[in-house]
Amino acid sequence: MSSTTTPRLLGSGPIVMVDDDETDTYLMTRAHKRSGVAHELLTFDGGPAFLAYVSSLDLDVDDLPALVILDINMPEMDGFEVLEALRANDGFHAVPIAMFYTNSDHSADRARAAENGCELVEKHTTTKEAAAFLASLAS
Amino acid sequence: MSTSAIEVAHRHLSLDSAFERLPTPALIVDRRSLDLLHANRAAAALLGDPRQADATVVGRPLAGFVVEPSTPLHELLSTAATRGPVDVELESLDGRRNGATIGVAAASVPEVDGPVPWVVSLQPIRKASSGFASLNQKVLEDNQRALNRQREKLSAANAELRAAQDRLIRMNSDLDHFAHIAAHDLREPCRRQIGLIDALQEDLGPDLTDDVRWQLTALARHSVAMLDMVDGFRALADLAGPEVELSTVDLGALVGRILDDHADGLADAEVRCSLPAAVTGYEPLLAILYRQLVDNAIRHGARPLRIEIGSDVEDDRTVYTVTNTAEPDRVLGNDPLRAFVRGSGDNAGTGLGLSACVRVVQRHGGHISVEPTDGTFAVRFTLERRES
Repeated sequence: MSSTTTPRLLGSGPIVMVDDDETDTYLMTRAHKRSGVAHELLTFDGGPAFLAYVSSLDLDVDDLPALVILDINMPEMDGFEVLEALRANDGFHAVPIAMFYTNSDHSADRARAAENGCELVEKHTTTKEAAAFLASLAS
Repeated sequence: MSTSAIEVAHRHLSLDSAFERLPTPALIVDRRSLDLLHANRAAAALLGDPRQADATVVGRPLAGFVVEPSTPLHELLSTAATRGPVDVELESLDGRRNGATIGVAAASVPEVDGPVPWVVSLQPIRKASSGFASLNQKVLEDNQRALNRQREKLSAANAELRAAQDRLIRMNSDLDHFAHIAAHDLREPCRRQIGLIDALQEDLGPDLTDDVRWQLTALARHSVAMLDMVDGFRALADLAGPEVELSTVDLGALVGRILDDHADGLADAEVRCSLPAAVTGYEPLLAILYRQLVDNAIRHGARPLRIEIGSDVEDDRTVYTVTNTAEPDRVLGNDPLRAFVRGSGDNAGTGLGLSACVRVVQRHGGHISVEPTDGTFAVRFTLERRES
């Protein structure tokens, strides 16, 4: 894993994963079950669907996501565009966000993530690794 | 003739209006000995030749006219003495040239003892003769045209060079972009493949037959190898960039993983591996290097295959070696490194292998060599990068 610090869950809301690839979503879902983490896992297949969910939240009533995991390379809106849209929403300033990458570990991406108060995390290969990652968030 | 005599001659000369003053230095030539030798010496002195003129002069002012080149100077002086100042081009024996007006002034200098001097006034030509001037002008124009042609050629060559440079920059950018995209596009399916195989193995668990378990394990292993190669390919493409980071590498562990990946090919081989646990290097690139060396040992090594992977300190440097048994009659040609990496026929390697081995070592500031002997094949290299 290439992140320098592991993000932490904030509050009791769901862990949200935004990724256009159904295999990655499937594997993360398996990992979530194995991890034993109490937080619900919600998955969205792209930025527009996720931002629609965000705008539907009643911030006085609903739990904010405990963590948002964004894939970087997505069609329509890439992870950074979703990140910037999220940070533009006052209610989401404090929500922890992790950007998942497989190839975009360039310093420019790291800098852009850091500017938006976000961690860059390498995508996991096995269920075991992903489960360990989720468990570490809650510990 | 002393300076004072020249000064006296100046005061007493009845000079023609063609020249109003004597130039300095003025040459004084004895008319009575106005011969070729003296005349040439006089011309040489005017032109700065170190052989100096003799020292007496006599003459009368004359009307000027242009003299043909190559007329001996003493004839010019005689002509000038009778017909007045003449415009000439003088050339010394050692090739010095200058235009001059030769005038001869009569002088009666009673204060001077000895022969009455003639003052030969040699002045720089104010208006060149038509022949000399047009020759000069033609030469200048020819030179200018030649210079202009050279400038045009240079300008065209520079424009071509800039265009070629622009093309090269675009190609490098395209190649870099391709490497980035290709590495990503190749990496994603590999990673997902490994994840799905892992999920399959979990879900099927104890229901797996030995065959299916072996197949899934092999699938996973090859996918990992593919992932490593993609990472290595990406790292290779980024060799000059800042993204490849120097770190402390556990070489023994890295090579151990590579040997595990090659478990099938090494099933009947004897392998010994002893490497340092802390080496400064670029881990993805070292993975490429050792993977290539092990691959080639398996493909080309003589059976029964024996591979030794180790290091030694020689002259204060650590030299890493990968040695395998080899066919004694294997022909390697003039470039054994190329032959060993490329192989032949079904075992032909790829350009990536050759480039990778050499470039990885070069990227580490080291040197790589191949030492084939009768019965063994050894690749030796150094890794000399230091963390700053």
